[in-house]
Amino acid sequence: MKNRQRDMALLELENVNKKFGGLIALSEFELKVQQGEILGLIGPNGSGKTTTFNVITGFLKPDGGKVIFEGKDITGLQPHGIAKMGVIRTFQLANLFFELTVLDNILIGFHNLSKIKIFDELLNSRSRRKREEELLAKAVEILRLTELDSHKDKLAKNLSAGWRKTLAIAVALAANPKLLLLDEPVCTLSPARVASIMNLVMRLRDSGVTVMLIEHNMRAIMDYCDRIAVLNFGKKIADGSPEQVKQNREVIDAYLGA
Amino acid sequence: MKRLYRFFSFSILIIFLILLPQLSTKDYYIHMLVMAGIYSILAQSLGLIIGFTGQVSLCHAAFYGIGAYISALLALNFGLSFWITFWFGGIGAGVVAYLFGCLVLRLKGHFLAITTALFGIMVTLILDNWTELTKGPMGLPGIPNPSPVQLLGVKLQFVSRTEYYYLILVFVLLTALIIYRIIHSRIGRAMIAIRENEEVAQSVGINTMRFKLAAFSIGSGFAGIAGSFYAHYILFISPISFTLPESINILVMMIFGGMQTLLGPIVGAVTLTFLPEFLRMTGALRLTLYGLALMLLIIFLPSGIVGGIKEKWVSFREKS
Repeated sequence: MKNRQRDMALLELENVNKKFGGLIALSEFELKVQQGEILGLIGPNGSGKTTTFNVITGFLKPDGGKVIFEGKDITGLQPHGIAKMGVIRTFQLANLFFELTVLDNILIGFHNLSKIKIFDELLNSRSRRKREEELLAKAVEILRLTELDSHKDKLAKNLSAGWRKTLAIAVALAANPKLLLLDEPVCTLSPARVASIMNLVMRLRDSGVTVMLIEHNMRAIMDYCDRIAVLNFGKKIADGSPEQVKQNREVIDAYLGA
Repeated sequence: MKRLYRFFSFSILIIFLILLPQLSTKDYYIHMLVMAGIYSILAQSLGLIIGFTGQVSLCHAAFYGIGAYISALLALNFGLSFWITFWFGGIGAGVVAYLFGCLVLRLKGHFLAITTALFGIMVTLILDNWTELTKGPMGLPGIPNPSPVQLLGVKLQFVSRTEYYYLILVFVLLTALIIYRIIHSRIGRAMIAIRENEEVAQSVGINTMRFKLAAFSIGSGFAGIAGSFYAHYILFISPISFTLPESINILVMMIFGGMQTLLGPIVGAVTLTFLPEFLRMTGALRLTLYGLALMLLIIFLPSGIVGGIKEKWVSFREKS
């Protein structure tokens, strides 16, 4: 077990509210994500899971409440700013640069890593070329880690659904995440693929990345998550270990009830 | 080996371009070469905005015009020569583009296209009606040619069209070089990311607004430089040269040549500057054939001439 800093959660959602017209997407949502854990976010369709990710990463502004990352209030900041702080997300339908190669996709992910020095770039200075070589080496490492090496020159649009989801995670990895938000990373995939991606997630966690994932695949959630939060109609109805959540009456009702 | 091949073919091209004016006795064809050069700069710079960053700008001719008018007015009112005015033309157009971009680049797709088109119309209206400054539709005559310059022992007076040709050739090559370096840098990579998928680009930390503004300002700035050149070449400018149809003309050249390539816009500009001339032989059918050529291109070669060649080359290599 890792020694966790119990004084400050890595990410904290304080009383977050979000409405879309008359539809309440999130209602007084409170959540703490601890450094180094794998947190699952589950709930029936339309319960507000992806909305949560959108609010955390700045793609949506909440109507009320705060998002606090590493002690800093990041509520309503621009998505790229939040990404620069180390909060990286994937999208529900593997969102990629489809017309570009797998390698190019990952190289774009490296944008976060350092400031662009305009003169260096335009004159193609030696330091820039060295930087490019380093990035290429890093990309090769990510390709190896995600088992995408043999696909590196394929266009993203030509990958199968499973490899696309893997690539989305690879691109997120390239952006050097402290907190990785995976939106349905293994949905619709075969058990073998699920295991291989979830093992990758475990290895990422072991290397220091905190992971929050939205999933419908209950095996993936129950077997790999340290903690699970359950949403229903925008309200959190459970928050605890897999065993606790499995036995929670409200959770069972939400999934089975009409 | 590949480097040597590239250097060799590039040198041959340069030599060909230098000797080109000697091939023709007709001054008119040299004039068309100069215009092809101006359009090359316009098409390339639009290519940076639309082709590489994916932002549809239908007001490129407006910045062409802003550059031309800034240059002409500085020359006529303050006696400044082209060598100074083109900087003002380019930077002036770039600044206007930056300010306008801050307002509208949050729009996407069709909304951006319409808004930029309206901006272009607005600029035309201002040029037409602010007669105290621009003399309106009557235009500004008497713009001086670039002041003489001494280069490698040769004195260039910019009286003959051939001299202008060599000057525009330098500008075209410099524009190409700068855009090449931008595209092959991390700045270019970010721009392409924005074109391909703006959401994902944001999610990995790319400040999309900043790069859109960069592409828009730089691209429009080059259009301004082309405008300055035009003013000091034709020696007369009026608003009619910088209207929405002209923006579309530049857009078509860029698409025809291949908008996601570096060479494409140049090929498109040269081809579509000369094509109407060659079609003159066909008399009344001229415009029909022009339109037909464009339609066939879009249907069979949507990535343009250079884009299409690249794709065929890639699929040829993959099969073998």
